[in-house]
Amino acid sequence: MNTRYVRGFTLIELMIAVSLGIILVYTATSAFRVAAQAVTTANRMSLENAVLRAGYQIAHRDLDFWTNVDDPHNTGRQGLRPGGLGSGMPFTRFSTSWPGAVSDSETATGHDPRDTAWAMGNKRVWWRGNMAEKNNTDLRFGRYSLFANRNSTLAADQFSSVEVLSGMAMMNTTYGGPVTVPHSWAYNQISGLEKSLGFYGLCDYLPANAIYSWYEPYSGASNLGGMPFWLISPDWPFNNGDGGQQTPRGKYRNSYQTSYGIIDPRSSNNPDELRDRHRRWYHLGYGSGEGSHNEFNDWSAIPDNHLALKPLNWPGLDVSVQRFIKNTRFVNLARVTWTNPISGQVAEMSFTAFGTTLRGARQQRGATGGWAKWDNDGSTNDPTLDSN
Amino acid sequence: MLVLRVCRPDHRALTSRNPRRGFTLFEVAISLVLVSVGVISVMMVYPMGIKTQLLARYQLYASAKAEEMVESFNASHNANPAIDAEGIAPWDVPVAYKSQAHDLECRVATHRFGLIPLPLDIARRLDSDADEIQQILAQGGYLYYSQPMATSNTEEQGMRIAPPNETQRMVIAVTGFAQHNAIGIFPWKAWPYLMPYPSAPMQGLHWHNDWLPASAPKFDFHGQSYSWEATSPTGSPIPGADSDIRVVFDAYKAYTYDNNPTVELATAYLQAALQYAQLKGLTADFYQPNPIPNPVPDFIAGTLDLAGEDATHVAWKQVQAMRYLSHAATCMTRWKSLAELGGQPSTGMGVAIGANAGGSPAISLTHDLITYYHERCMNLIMRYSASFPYDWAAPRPLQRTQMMDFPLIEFDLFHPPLTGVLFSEDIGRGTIPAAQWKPLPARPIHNVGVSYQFPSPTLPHNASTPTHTIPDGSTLGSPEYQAFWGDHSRSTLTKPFKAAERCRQIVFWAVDWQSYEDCETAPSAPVDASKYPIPGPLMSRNFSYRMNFVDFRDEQLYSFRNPEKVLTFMWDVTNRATGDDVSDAIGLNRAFDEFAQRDRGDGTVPGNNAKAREVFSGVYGADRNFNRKLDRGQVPRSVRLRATTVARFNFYDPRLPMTIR
Repeated sequence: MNTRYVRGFTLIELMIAVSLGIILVYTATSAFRVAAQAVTTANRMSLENAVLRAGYQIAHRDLDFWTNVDDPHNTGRQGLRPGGLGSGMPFTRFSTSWPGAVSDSETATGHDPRDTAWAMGNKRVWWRGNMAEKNNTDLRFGRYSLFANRNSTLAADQFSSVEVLSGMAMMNTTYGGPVTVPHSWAYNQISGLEKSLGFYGLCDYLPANAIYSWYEPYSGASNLGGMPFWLISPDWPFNNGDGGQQTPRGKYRNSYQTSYGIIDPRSSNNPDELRDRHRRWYHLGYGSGEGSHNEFNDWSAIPDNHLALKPLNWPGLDVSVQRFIKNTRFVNLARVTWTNPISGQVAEMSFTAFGTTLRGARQQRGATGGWAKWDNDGSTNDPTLDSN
Repeated sequence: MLVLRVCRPDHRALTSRNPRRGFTLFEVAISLVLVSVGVISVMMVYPMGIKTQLLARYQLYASAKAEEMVESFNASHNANPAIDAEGIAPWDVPVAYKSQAHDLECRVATHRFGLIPLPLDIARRLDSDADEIQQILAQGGYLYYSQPMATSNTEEQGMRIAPPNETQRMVIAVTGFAQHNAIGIFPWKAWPYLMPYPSAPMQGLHWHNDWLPASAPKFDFHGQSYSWEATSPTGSPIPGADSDIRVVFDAYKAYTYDNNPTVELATAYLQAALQYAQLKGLTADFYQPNPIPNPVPDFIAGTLDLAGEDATHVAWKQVQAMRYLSHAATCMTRWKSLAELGGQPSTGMGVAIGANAGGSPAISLTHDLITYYHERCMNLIMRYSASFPYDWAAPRPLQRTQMMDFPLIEFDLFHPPLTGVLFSEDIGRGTIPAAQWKPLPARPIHNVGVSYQFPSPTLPHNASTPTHTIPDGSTLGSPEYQAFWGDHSRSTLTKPFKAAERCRQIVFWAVDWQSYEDCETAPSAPVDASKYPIPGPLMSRNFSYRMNFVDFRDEQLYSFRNPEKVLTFMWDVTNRATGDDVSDAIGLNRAFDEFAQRDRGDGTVPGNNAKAREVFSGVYGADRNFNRKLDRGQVPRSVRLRATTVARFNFYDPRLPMTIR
């Protein structure tokens, strides 16, 4: 009889086999768990990266085209366009706020959109005045309004009267008139830009070396020389109180303690308020506090929620582009913020970047809506917001 | 040795035709290894996805940061109006410092512009491909991290708490050698001096009159003042220092500062201006043309050659004469009416201006003549400043400041440098050796004159024996000229170059350096000595005093400080718990002299401004992520982290200092 020898696993063998099985199962399970987590994490990061990239591109679109404050195809976002004659905002058409024919004449008072308008070799662009003229001047250095004035002709009553010693007595005397003033163009351009665009626009359009003041007929709103108080006095909407400086200023002094900015049209439904907000300074420099920064941010850095209708598992995306002038620098500050859909944690990428100037942005926009079409030779360019 | 088998072989089965045996342990082990390799290989693929996504994200951060660096470099000027920009010798003022170089790395390594040196303690723990980070550090370079808040020029103390910013997990370095570019300021004389046109002779505050020659026209107006242009230090002719201006200034001073203004004093001022024109050899055709030319010209015919060059360097005389004449004549419009001034057009006689005691020419002043003066003044200065940047006799017009007002000057690197000693207390008392390359303008500078702050005789390259002024182009080729200026044949600023010759790189790495336990308590990286401000030489003041003299002002002196300054802790916070609110300890925009009064956190108040120096140096660390909390990571400082290369951007620095609008 052929006895067949059969035996089972020993306990040791069984334990080893079970152990190996457990290890295999555990390893496989862990591998799958890690794999699943890795895939989930990678997918989440991929989604976040896609959202972040989109935010980065949106920020650059806004930097290039200013669509966050003025969308040519969305009338609901054109709050910086309303304006009337001499009372505009950054995107008001010049034909509405500051019409005028292009002319090389010194007496031209309308906007001159030509690239060569402010060529330094052109005598009409030179600032002619007394840089030391204070708001309480006694006119000891004379009447510079004779050389350049917003009015090309000044009547006798458009000069201030000053007290002089005549014979043995003091008497009031004035200059008399009428006087034809040789230069008017530059002052009317400076004034026109301010009235049409506000302070940021004024700085954007004028050459970097501009002096921010002018002469006009003497009145209660000007000093004895005819220089408007609001352009030379400290602590007025245009001039900060830094150092108590009287006299005209360049851009640096007014932008190292304070700033001018572009106000987001969504910050107010009141066009008058928006106009006023473009005609004041904001304290962001030396001695400023959190309150003034927050106030300015509330007016100028309103984020756009670009994923309002997103799946629940997608991160939120907000983008803001803020524009202001600080230390003569035209700051274009972009903030891309994304929110974790699970934890709610917010992360931000903020950066400054080159951006289109306001002048460039206005010339991107068609005069009658939409984007302006440009060609290479200029013969069939569409009219823009800058067109007369 | 392990000899267990999974299944013991049956000796009878070995002879069976159908043997049945199990796997050996070796076979099973091999199988397990193969399975493990397979599983692990698959597992390793998954983190690759995460790593790729991380890299993609950091590349985006790097792009944004590089863009910001370039933008802030080009759009921000390095305005430091509170520093002294000129001295007797270039090493006596900070304008020749590295921090003032128009170099991307130097310019943006401030708390305002976004690059902050990573603490050296931390930077030395970072590994990278080819050990590039350590090589940069070994060569004296910095490794930077991105500042936590936007680089907006605004005051940091008003900024909101920065949200988590992953950009900070990058470290950044600039590789490649610093380039040889134009110098931004001529340190012996911070040209261009700017004046409005028309104007009186240049005058203003002078901090320390020790340096003024006895003949300088001093006066007191809101402090010690003097007229620079009316100074002729040695009494001997110095090109660009015009003693004739004194007559104009004295009359102007009498009218403006010394008395209540009167028509008589205004007339005397005008007479002095006419006298000056006469002293400059100008004739009646210039100051009383008849008829008044229309259009009003600029230079007198024949002043410039056919190429428009001022070969004899005398054009400035007309500029200055008409500048003063126009300013003085316009004063008369306060006192005289249009009718008295002959009407417009001026058909009347006008106001008779007689000769003064100095023999000034007599003229008949009319409204049209005043207008002519103004027009010609503007024509002259605008053409002069546009055409002759290498002639320094007349100040540049404030109305048209632009980069071309400053001539192209570089240092001559292939010539023995100027040498001397740092100023200390008085001439000849300094003992610390100093050196600087010789300045090299693209063209010789004419009418250099004297400096506003140091119009006394100076010898820029050896302050111990001040017997000379800066030689101007009229002495070109002389030993005196060669001793000061570089060799013109080595001027490079106008020569073409290939981009590759000047190429540098911005390199970004990703590494979570904030996971270190001392990420906020590690001291700042050593502060580059060029970050120290220093005022010009003051008599009786030694170097230490001069270091203390300048008040720290963030809004003006951000280039002269520890780049971590606004984030630095003012005292030791190591005893505080992780996560503690440390708002009270952050320096922000406080002036450093405030720190001097503070204790070290243990009740001891160090004397002699030691505390200010400690805070300036960042010895207590900094709130590097600007969340106003004390952060400590989990990684001990003994651990090295590996930095992964994220991106490299090629760039080269511009040759000339300039900003975009």
